[in-house]
Amino acid sequence: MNFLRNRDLIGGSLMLIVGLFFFIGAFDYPMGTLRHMGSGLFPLGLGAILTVLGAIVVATAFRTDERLPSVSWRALFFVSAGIAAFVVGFEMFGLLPAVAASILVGALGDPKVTPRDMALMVALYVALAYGIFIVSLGLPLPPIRTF
Amino acid sequence: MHDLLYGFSIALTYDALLYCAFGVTVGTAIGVLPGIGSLAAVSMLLPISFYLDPTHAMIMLAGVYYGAEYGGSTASILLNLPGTPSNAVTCLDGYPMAQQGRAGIALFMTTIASFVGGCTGVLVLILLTPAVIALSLSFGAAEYFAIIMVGLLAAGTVTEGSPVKGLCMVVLGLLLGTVGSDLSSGTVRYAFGSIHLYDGISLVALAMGLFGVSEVIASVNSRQETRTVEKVSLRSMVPTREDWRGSWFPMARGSVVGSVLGALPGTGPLLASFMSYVLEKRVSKHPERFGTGTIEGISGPESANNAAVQTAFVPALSMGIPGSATTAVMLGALMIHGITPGPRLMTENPELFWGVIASFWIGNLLLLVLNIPLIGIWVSILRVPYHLLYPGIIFFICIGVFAVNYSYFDVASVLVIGVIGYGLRLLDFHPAPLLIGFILGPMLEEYFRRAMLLARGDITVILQRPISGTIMAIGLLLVVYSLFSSYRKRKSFRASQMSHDTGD
Repeated sequence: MNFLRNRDLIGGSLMLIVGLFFFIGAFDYPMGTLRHMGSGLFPLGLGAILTVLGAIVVATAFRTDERLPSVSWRALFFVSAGIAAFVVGFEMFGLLPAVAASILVGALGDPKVTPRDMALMVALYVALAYGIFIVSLGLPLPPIRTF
Repeated sequence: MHDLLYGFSIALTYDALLYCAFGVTVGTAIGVLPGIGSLAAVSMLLPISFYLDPTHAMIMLAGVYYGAEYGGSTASILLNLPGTPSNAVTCLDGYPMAQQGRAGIALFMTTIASFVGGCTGVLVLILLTPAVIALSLSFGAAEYFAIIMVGLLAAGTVTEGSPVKGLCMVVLGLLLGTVGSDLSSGTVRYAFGSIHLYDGISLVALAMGLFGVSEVIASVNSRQETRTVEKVSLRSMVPTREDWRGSWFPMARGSVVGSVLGALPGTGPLLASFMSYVLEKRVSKHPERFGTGTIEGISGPESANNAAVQTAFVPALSMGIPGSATTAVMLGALMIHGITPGPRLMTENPELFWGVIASFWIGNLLLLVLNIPLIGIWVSILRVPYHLLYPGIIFFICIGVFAVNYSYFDVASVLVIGVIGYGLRLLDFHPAPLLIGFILGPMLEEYFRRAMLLARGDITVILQRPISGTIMAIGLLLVVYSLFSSYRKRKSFRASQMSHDTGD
């Protein structure tokens, strides 16, 4: 059995760690009493509950014994990069180039895409973005930055 | 009655009609496409809604929500892929019907069933909401705490997947809700010195990250694109007399099941459609026909999920407690508009309350038109391959999130939350309960604090007061039942697997 690929072992441990994190973090805030609750009491209780729930998931992990499904790294990478490309594109060139950049990068997440598809999508979606966000909603965003 | 007419005077104005039509059209399109659900659509339109007045915003967002339930059955029938999770049951009999060349009839009957369910749901909503409001005016902090608690328990346990994991997500959501300034003392919690987190995690970024970005990542590459969608002609949609006769009772039963389950906080259309299918199979004289393309198997569940979508607004409009994850996001939107959802909504914002309810009738009528004469458009949407659609979703999310505060931090959050959300999906944690917890968290803490203050720190007060005690008992029963049934399901699943293994 491969422990590192056991889905519930990973998931349960993560919940346990996050629960502990909030539980320990709660001690930075005043606890008060039940009658006059401080801001630390609520997250303290919840952190404890999440820790216990995480432990239960870990405890049942060996019985369910599900393997972690395969990660689609390509989609993960290019979709994330597409969002980052939007920020960079907007900062440097304005809204419409940012839309084009996010599409050109994001579309690479699927290997089936062809250059023709990309050209089509850029033309269509840039026009759509202009129509919705600039013309009809009138967002105060620069369509194209001029220098 | 007078109030409802007042509502129509608002819902029938040009602008309101326009936003209603826009909402239900977008909803149908989103519902038709597998891989994006109503929650993703509502969160994507959230930023746009901030530019509208609150009534129009709610009319539009609600339209997307119930519109998606109409459209969702199309892909279930034609492709055996549910358009939204609550249409999954429709695959069982809808797809076999399509294989027998009865796709048109199935599409027609699901639309009629949706309409019947939707109208029943709206009727229940109109009759029940004022009564619940009257009742809830006598509720104290302990009662509100108990209702929210039961809603959270139901959201965590009565969903797809393991109930323990569902509860993990609810608690994680509650914890994420504590990030930022504390409502009563102003103490900043878990912000790590970052000024961007002082106001808490952005609801828009959380909703779009969990339901937009992570759904896109999970859907790209995951489906086979070799799908052929056949044309559906209007002539092929005319049902036989048998089909009509077989459908009336399932529709009536489905509407009742859906109305009840929708009105309970935390349970929603998914459970409603499933329960209706189980019920139809149990009352049928020919249970063996289910799964082979019987009309009862689609008309019951399709009325149930649409009724549930409408009655999900009962707790939302009467007490400010959402009936499902999507209504939770809508309530979040209302709060951003500066309107506090709760028992006073009806008297303080009557134009919003009655306008939105009246728009439900109009929306359901529009959907009837959209889904029968115009079915060809939606069928052709299904032919567009996903790799041409998802880049559009990505840029829409980016602009949407950015336009709320013009903050790069929000766009960065959506990216990080999206990646985390994808990880949670891989680990079989479903993000919907997390979102419900996140939105209800601050309310839960506030009501708990008040209840404790009034009871002088006596925690048993929640169990001792008659109404809150009863509600908590129901909640506990719910948890015990769902833990028990999931244990039994797992056991029988393993038993069937074992016999399968030895049989090979």
